[in-house]
Amino acid sequence: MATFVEQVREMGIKQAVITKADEVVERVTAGMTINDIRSALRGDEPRRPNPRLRPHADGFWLHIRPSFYHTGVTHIYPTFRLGWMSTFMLVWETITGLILMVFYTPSPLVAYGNMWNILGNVPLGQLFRNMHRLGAEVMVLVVALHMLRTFVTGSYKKPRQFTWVTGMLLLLFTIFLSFSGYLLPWDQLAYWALTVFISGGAAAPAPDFVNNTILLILQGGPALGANGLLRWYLLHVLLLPLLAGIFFFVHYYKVVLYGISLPPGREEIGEDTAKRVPKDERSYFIPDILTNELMWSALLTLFLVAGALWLWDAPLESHADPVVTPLHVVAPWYLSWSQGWLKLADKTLVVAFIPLLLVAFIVMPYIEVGKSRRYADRRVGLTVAMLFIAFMLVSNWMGSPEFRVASSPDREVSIHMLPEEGPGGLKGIPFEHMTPGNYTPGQEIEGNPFLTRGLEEYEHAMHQQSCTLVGNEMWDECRVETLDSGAKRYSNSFTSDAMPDPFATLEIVEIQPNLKEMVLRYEVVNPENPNELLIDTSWTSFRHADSNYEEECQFLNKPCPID
Amino acid sequence: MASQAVAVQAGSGDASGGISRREFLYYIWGASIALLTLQGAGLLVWFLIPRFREGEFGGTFTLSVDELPDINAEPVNFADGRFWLVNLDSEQPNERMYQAEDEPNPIQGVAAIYKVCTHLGCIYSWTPANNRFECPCHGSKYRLDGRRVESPAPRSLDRFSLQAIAEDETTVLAEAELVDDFFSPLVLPSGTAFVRIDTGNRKDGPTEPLLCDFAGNCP
Repeated sequence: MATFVEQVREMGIKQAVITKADEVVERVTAGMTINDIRSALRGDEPRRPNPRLRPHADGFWLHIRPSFYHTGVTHIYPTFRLGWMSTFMLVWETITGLILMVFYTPSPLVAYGNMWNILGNVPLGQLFRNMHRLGAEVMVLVVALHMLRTFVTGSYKKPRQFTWVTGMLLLLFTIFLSFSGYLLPWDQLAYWALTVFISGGAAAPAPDFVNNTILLILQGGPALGANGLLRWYLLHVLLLPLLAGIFFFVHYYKVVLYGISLPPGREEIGEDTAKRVPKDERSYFIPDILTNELMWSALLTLFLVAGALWLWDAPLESHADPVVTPLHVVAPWYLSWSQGWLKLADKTLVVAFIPLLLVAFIVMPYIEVGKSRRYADRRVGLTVAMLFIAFMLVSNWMGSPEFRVASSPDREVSIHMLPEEGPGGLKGIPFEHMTPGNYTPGQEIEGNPFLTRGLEEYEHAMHQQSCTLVGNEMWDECRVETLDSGAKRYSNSFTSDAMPDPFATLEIVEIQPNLKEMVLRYEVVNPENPNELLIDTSWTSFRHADSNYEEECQFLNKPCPID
Repeated sequence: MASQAVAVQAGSGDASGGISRREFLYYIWGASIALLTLQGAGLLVWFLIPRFREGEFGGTFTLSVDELPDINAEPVNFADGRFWLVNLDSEQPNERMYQAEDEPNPIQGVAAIYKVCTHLGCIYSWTPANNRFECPCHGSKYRLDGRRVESPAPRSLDRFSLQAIAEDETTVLAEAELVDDFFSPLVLPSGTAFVRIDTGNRKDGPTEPLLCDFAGNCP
């Protein structure tokens, strides 16, 4: 081989550089020259011997990828690209997660502060957090749909049973990965979701000392704290990605080994021709599959970036408080079904049922051994699957906020007016318009449209809640009378002469310069003895001049009731 | 090569011809590796059990009797120790505290109730308008003394050990009695100036019927 200097002498500098570049490209691609690449992109027939097969034979990156696919599996149906998308999401989560790790420390002292730093200070920090969180949810969805597809087309049948088993494990790892990341922001949502989840894990049908040990190991102490956060962090960034990575390769090796199963109608019953691809049915990886995958990468990236930018923001509630559980706690949507089950049955039953269900899923391909993958021959199996999906949808719905635990009417009104988390209700009133004083629902304040609007909303919320105490034995009936003046009298918990209800008040106090307190107070008088207060409760919320809730409404893309 | 020759001599190449010494030693070796792995797994569990002092979040609390709530009044919250203090007397019933059909003896005295819901570990709170403890997570409800009103809680609320202490802050005048491995409320003897709550000594609440079953208003 001539050296570069010799080549320059021989063919001139331009030609020598081109030859050198071609050589480098051929080495990097493990066998394709610039002309080979251009011919592949043009769609020409490959020369013989086919250089497009060499990256598969000699290169590291493509040695696990097949050099051609059956044309029967390269369309949207039957794969819907879901397996590939799951892989894409795993890579996506790894990249965005690594970037977020740079700005995160797993300690209760700083974790929450880190989150605000990422949101407000790190360039593109909020975008990366949104993309990571959105990606986590999309990944759970994509992996679940991938399993569903594999079941529906019967692709898990012999010889692909073990591929299905590893797939089930990957689904489990995906859910655990998504959920273990839940704790890291160390906000109220994170803390209480994990507390409930861990307590569930420790409700196994086992002796007490086993459950107590599970609880201690998962919490890292008698309650979630610094040790617990560190444990879940390590699970999230080390153990689970490692397991998911290992099983991904086991899974993909089996996929390549047996080939992607053809659509059920394309082969004879009982045949498996995925690996016997006739010459005219081949779709080569280079360039067709590769460019197709690049297109899907671009589309998914576009969807995730656009979603993270404009459509959805990752939630961040207030700092975790181990002694206060917020009023309306909900499970993440992909665990909503378990929340629904917990309303139906004892927790030990639910906790025992979940692993049984998992085992049932894992052994499914060893039970459904009928040779045919055709839909018409699998009516029982598909019916059972549809019933199961319906059952899960109903369970999910039962676990949704629709069926959240309702508190007493005064708390429900208060939480509507002064939410525990984020902006909304009376928090939308600009600080300078929060004039100290006592106000009643529906009162009109001259020259203060914000407060007037807030009190109007207060009256509306009272209207909605004022008859909800019917179930309370103290007030057996909800009576609404219209007085001569046109005002309405509600005879129950929020008894009053008329709306606006004099027994529900909003009190605004300036307790320090730049710090105001809003108190919603409820007093219920005994109908038999006007001097006796049956209920005397209040709900307090502090508001600093710099809280900027009214601006936050726009920043968080949230609707502000008062504007 | 030599080993193959030995194998051929010993078993004549027939696997059913009994275990050779070499094969036997391999099995023993394999079994010891399996045992070692099991031990390692056991050690890992032991290693993962967190080290902490019992009652780490609280320890022992000594409170003046002035801090106790009135009889059958709303409970008093001690967030540091993660307990509620209640003062009960079912002989003077009100909507917070009363005697249920299956309770033959009056319930009287002071109790320290653990703040954590027995269902899935959330912190329940006192809901004044409904006169009971309510858990925001899955809706368990409890009477003032911690007995279950509504499920899904599997048992009544847990209690801490409680002592009545005299003016000198050392003499223990009385101690909450254990009945069926659960602390009964303690009627404070005269001369009690302080109560001492040991958050390291907690007893699980009993599994009694739901109170809403008696009222017939279970959801």
